[in-house]
Amino acid sequence: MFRNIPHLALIPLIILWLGINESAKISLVAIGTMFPVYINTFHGIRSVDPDLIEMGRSYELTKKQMFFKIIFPAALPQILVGIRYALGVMWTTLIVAETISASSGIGYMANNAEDFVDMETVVLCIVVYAILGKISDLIAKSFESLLLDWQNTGRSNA
Amino acid sequence: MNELNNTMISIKNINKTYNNLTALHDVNLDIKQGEFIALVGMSGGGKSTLLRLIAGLERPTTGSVTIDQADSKTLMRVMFQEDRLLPWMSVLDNLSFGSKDKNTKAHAQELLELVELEDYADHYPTQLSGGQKQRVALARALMSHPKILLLDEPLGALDALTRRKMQDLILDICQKQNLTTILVTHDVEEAARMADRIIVMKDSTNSYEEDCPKNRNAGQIGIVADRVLGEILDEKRVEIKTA
Ligand SMILES: Nc1ncnc2c1ncn2[C@@H]1O[C@H](COP(=O)(O)OP(=O)(O)OP(=O)(O)O)[C@@H](O)[C@H]1O
Ligand SMILES: [Mg+2]
Repeated sequence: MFRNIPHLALIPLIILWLGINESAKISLVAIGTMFPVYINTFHGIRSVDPDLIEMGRSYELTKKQMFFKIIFPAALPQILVGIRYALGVMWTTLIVAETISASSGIGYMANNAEDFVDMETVVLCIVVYAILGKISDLIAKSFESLLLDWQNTGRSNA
Repeated sequence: MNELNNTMISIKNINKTYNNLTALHDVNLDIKQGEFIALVGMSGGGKSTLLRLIAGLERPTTGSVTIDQADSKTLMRVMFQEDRLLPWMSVLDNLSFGSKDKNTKAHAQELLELVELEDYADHYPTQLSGGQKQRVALARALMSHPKILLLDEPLGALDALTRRKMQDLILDICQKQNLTTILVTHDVEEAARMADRIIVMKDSTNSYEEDCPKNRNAGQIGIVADRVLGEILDEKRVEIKTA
């Protein structure tokens, strides 16, 4: 139930609790990113091929070995999907949080500029957000290709 | 070699039920060291269940499986219809999986040569054909110098030609390494070609068995296969009625 509340709807509540400051923003981002990461990790672990787990059992792996040698690497693609999605959520949340409940930051700057009809600053803010978003996505992507290089070895380029 | 007549696996009064379903009923079976057994029978007859009980992947409801070795588990390896290779590991790393030996790499290379995949050590499973993957799975099973090889339809998903080549490879390895082998197969011809003894699983128990002649020729294989198939299907002769 809790996860069905759009985290942005919590903004008024969090302002009331924490005021307009850093910790309000961080809490909001934390709540917003927690669920995509949690759900994808959970799903990733749930959908590990039971055949591979049985294979591990026949090798008499300990619980720890089973986790690090089979379950975690098998769930990793799904976990990374969650992280990459969460990064997107993170930026959106930050923009909204800064626009509504902040006294500094890019969102605050954009909002301020809007009040003064300062088109150039507004556009600059958008561009900065685009660049930051792109960079974080690239970092996530390179993590993926680093950790999941085995997925990119289709038979065609063998 | 008086060792040859030692009982390696002793199965006594095994019953296995899942809820109300009887998968195995009163199975008794002794398997000698170095023997090659084929388990055949209708789908759902309990072949896989029996193999999994021997492998220790499942416990019998009643009865016992005794392996004539102190440290039995490490001596036993299972191979399934699916290769069960770890897709995020190279072929070589898949072989080293679960092995703590110092000479692992060298031994793995040797086994890859044995299955004629020495050039594929750095490939990932996704880059291999079905037959190649099964050869890797076979090599992995041999890594820990097992004494017992348990095979659950390992060739079930392969085409007829690859299948035939794999049969010869497995037979050759089992003979050279004097492995005690249990092969589950739905292919009576395969059973008649490979096994020393064929066991028919029917009505949840081992209802019939047949010793296969040594150095058999194609004709003998056909006769044995026919007889075993007749036992499975409960038909001494299939009559074809014409209108
Ligand atoms: N984990 C399980 N839970 C419940 N029933 C099971 C389980 N495993 C097997 N069975 C049942 O036990 C019976 C024997 O199954 P088993 O897999 O041993 O058959 P099989 O001879 O290997 O068949 P096939 O040739 O199709 O592989 C079947 O009726 C099956 O439904
Ligand atoms: Mg089966």
